[in-house]
Amino acid sequence: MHITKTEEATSLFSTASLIKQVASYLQELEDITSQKKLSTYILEDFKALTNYFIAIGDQQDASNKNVHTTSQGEVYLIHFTLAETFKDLVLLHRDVALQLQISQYKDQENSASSEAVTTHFKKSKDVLIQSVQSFAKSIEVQRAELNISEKSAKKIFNSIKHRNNPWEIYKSQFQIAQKQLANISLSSGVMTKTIKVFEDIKNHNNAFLNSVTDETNELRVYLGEGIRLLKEMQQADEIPTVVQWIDKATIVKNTATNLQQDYMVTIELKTKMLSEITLPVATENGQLLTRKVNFNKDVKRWVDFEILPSLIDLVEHSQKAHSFFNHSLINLKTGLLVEKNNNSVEALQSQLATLKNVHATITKNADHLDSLVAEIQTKFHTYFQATKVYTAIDFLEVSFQSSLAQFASEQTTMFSGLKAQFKNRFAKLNSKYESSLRFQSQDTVETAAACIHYRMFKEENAQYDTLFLNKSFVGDLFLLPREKQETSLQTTLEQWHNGFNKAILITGDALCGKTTFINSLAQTHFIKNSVVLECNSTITYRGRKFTTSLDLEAALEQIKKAIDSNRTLLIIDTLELWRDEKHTLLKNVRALINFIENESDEVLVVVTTTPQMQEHLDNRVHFSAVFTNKLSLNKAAFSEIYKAIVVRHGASHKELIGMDNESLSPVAIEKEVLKLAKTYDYNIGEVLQAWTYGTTLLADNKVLYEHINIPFGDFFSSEELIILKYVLLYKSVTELLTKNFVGARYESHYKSALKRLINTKILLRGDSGALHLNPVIQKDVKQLLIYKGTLN
Amino acid sequence: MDNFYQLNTWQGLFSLILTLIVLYWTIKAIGLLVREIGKRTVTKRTTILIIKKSLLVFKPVAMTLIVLDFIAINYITHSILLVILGVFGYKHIKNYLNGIILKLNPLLGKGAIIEYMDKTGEIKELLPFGLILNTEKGERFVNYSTIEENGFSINSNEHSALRQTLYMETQMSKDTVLDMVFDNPLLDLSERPTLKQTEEQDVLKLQYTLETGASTDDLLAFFQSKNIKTDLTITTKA
Repeated sequence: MHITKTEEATSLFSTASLIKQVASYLQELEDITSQKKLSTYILEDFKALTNYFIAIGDQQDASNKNVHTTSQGEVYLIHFTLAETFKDLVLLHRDVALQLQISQYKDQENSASSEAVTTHFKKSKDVLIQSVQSFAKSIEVQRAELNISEKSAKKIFNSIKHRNNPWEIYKSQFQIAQKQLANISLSSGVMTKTIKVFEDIKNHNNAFLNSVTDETNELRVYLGEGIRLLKEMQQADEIPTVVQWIDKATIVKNTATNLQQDYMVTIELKTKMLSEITLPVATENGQLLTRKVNFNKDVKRWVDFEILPSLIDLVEHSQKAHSFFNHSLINLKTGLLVEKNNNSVEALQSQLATLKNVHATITKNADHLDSLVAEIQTKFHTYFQATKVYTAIDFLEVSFQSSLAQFASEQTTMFSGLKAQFKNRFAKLNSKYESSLRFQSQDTVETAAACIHYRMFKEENAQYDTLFLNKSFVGDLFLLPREKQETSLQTTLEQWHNGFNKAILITGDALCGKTTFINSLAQTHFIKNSVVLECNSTITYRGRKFTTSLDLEAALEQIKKAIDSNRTLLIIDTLELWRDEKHTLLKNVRALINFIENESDEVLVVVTTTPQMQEHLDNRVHFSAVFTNKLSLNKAAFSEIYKAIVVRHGASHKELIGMDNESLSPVAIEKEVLKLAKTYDYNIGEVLQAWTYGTTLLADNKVLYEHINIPFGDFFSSEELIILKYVLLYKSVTELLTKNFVGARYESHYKSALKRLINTKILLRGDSGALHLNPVIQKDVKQLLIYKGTLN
Repeated sequence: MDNFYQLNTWQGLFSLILTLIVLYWTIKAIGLLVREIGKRTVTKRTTILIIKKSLLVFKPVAMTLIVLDFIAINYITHSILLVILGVFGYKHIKNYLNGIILKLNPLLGKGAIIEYMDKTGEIKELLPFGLILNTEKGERFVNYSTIEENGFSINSNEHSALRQTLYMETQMSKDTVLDMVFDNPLLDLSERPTLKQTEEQDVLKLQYTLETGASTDDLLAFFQSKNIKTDLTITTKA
């Protein structure tokens, strides 16, 4: 444009010259033939025109302050009337520029037909021409109006006298519009590039899809050829030709998988070229609306969510078709080779039929592939356009559902993984719970029976187990000193030798080693001067021989008779055994008490019994008060228990192995022993016995140790509890005894209770016919009775 | 934690209630765990008993705390409100509290024969506000307050050990009788039986405690087999 540097020439800055400028602008506008030129024209020439208009306005503004230099008419025209019309012109130009740009993009992207683009251009040009013409006309009209008469002009001037001059506002609006125009032109470079990348991606996609369909079509062609070959085949010696063809055909590799990877990589690379753009998309009054679009992110997401699933499906199908093709051909080849060997072509027809089937399947598959390809292409065609940013809908929208489904299927490590884990764990817990429920619902009697069965002596393990179980076999080798108790005993003995009257009561639960302890005492301290008083046996003491019944009084009388100055140790092991109907326990105990009171200076009486019996007796007679010393053997030290097991195991000369078939280390053995010791309250005999529960004798001198804890359930009725209490206290019971205690109620209540206890092997019948408690559940029964409050 | 120190707010009350609920269930869970896990020992038995009793007391204590906190939020309005509620609900509250005190009594339990105000019945169920008795005339609901105010006696209890009395007619000496029962597992000897001469000649009064699970009938049968006449009351002396 040629006006910009003429600011000093006042004559140039007038409405008259504006008319000229507008006319020349209009003329050039009318000559424009292409869309691009129109765009440039607007961006450059119209900008110049605007600048010119602003220059005139400014000139008028400056002169307005100096009233004498310019005519008021010019000021009025430019500032008050023409500015408004010119603003409309400016906005229209801006709008047209934007729309032209959009249509240009659409043209570039082929999303609009060329006719549409041309029509758009023509219409745009027409609109501009019309508006410029009307502007030119309005200048003249306004000028003429001003020049009609002095009076009217004056009236107008008077009216604007008290009005603020709006020029500054108009001016700033024009400048803003200019900036907006600049913005529109600025964005074009990036957008063009974006459109190119979009085009690129589209082409790439098409290439990929084509390669996939081509491959499948190739298979069809091959199959067609194969069918023809088979049809033509007449004799077995033509088979090698067909086989050759098969070999050639099966070489065809499926490249879809590799292609898929390439595809993704290329898409990734291409999208890298895209960036975030702020794009002017529409106008509204004075404002230019822009849209911030991150093409890079949007494209990536769209491809991932909308295209990738179909693509994977596509590749899978293609792979399936290939492997199916290969398998079928290899089958055919094998069949043909067999025929060749047989030199017959009998199966040819069926093979042909099979091949036709294969062809049909592959064709079906190819159809499906085609539909998938079409789907992807349609998606690309309809949605994958950069110019879609100008539409009202979301750009490259990913539906919530598909994105969610994709998210769920993609996040296998997180969501579904966690879900699966949770499900798995819950199922495990559930099955555990159910199995435990099943276990619980099992009758407690059954579990108790299982427990007893597991624990009871098994003949096949006898060779090993007897070492731990045999009570009477107390070789020196197995005898382990109970240090604490022995020291205490030692002191007592010394005092007794020094003239103190002593009597010792040794208490302890069954199996805790009372008998062993006093036997060793007798052997170490009273080799000759000791007598063990046993019921129903023959005793030799100081040359006298006498037999004992269950009458302790009589037996003690015999001892009394034989007493001389030699101090003697009298052992009464398991006091509660001394009883029958005639000689009750109380009677015998009274005799014993009497004996101790009178003879303890000459005879050191050692009595063993259980703590429960001791307490029971104390309830009726002053039993424990008679004894000067009381020793409890209930608990042994862990080291003693451990040693006892190791010594016995050592004597077996066998190797102890665990569940994993590995030899058990001393530490592991110690651990197991400690476990047992804790369970059985450090009762040495119980632990030794329990050790045998878990042992199984294996071949090649090995012993398997595997501790299983089968709980001993409580299934006892109240009658059974009473019987068990009696057995625990008195060691044994008989049917007759029970009958004595409950009289007529025996038949109705206690008989069946007793029977059940025998049947479940809680009670075992001894040689004498008396029932005693099964040693393997001694501790459980005792614990249960204490828990229930029956025993103390 | 701020809420914790400002109990006199609605939020504080809420957190107090929450804490109490959590505490209640924790104690309950511990009780369950103790019952299911570990060896059956006397300690375990007592622990379970203590937990049961503490749960029984827990409820009214928790309620009191909540009420106090409720008052603290707005002591004038809430006190008036509670006083009104108290006036109307006094009977029930008293009854409920009496129930808790009675339930703490080890004698009172399901199956015990209770005697109060000349009425006798077997306890069938212990409800929050009263107990259901099986009486001769059918089932009967009795307020805890009634029992508390009038006193009661427990005649027998099916399972728990109770001191009982028995009269026997025999010419045997007291010691002989006591020796005779010594061996008998039906009696709980840790609660020593006592035998006293009554005003009647040859009639002894035996006070004894049965072993858990044993029934009086068993013992009576025992004495009968020894040719000793027994009776539960002295009036029917032969």
